[in-house]
Amino acid sequence: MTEDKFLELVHTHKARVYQHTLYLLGNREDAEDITQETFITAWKHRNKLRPKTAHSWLLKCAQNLCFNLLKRDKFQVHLTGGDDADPETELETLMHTHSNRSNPSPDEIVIQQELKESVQCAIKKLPPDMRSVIIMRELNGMSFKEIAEVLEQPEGTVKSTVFRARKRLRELLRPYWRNEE
Amino acid sequence: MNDFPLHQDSSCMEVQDNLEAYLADELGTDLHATIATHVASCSMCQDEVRFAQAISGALHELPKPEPPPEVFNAVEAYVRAHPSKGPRWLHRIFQLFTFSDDLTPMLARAGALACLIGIALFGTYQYQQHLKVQQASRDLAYALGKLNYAVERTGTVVNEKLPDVRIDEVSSRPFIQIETASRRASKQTKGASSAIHRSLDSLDQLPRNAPDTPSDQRSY
Repeated sequence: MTEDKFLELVHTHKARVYQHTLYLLGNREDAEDITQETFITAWKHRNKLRPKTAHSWLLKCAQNLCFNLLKRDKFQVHLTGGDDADPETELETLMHTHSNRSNPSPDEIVIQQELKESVQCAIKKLPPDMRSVIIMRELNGMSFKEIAEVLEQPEGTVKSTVFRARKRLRELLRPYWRNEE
Repeated sequence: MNDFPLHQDSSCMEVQDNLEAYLADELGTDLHATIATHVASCSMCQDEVRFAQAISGALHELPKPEPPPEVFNAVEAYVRAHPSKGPRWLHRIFQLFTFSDDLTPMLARAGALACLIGIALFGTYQYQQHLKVQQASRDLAYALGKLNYAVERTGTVVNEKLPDVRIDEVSSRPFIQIETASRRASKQTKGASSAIHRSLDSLDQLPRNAPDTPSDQRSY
């Protein structure tokens, strides 16, 4: 693969890889580093890359790097009470930045906004494997089959993990839902 | 963690356990119908469905930030600093087998087809060689039979050197030997024919009144 073709491929996939790592790690600096490392690794293994499977390959590589980082840094997200929670992370700040781009909203939209922010927090509280499938399924809009290829798992296992992750999100977000009501 | 069970019954629990699969339409027909019937009549489960759908909506609306340009610039700088090595033509040949998704299976199919055709042609060739050896064997047996007859009739032994080879043995050897066996059998047949002609010539020189000389055999 020539340099120019590879850079085209980077341009095509950089956003998805970055979003995946950002939501998986919850930290912008780490996400940028891992995204960069993913593409450099891909260049080193360019002979293994196939245009049709590049997306899966890159996500798999990014995911492995993220999990290694989480393992190395003993990155653990614990279920914490509201006041005891860590300071707002960069991802939440980023989310506010993006959310503020939309038009000013009435009360209902404010409630939805709160739920969105709560969803964001809840995602961080999921175990990494569940977080990963939720990001791929809900954020990247990938099919169960595509996720199964990335994770190298049977499609049924992926479905089961997605359903368990969403059920877990419901459990985590139930207090917010009741408050809204 | 799950504080759903306020006044839930077993059907509500079933909805709880299968709600995501139900919303994704991944349940079997019977279970899907059971849950749909229950949800239609249970306000708490209806609320749970709305809750799950709200979460789905919120998940879909999560921001999708772009990476800062520095990331791409760093990758580009690395790629430019570590270009592909090796001659371009070699690289292209290598790409044929590694990068093209369409070409690799096509080459594999073509190779498999070529192997099948090769096996079929080789089998046909072997069969033809087998037939040739059988024919040569029959010819030689016939020629030897005639030669014996000529010797019996004339009482003359023609000094022909026939190689001491038995075709049945030769033809059972590995396939490489079959062509050789066929050639040798043909040579023996010619040698035998020559011997027959010499014997018959001797027979013709005998007195015409020799007893029991069948005219049809003399034609040889």
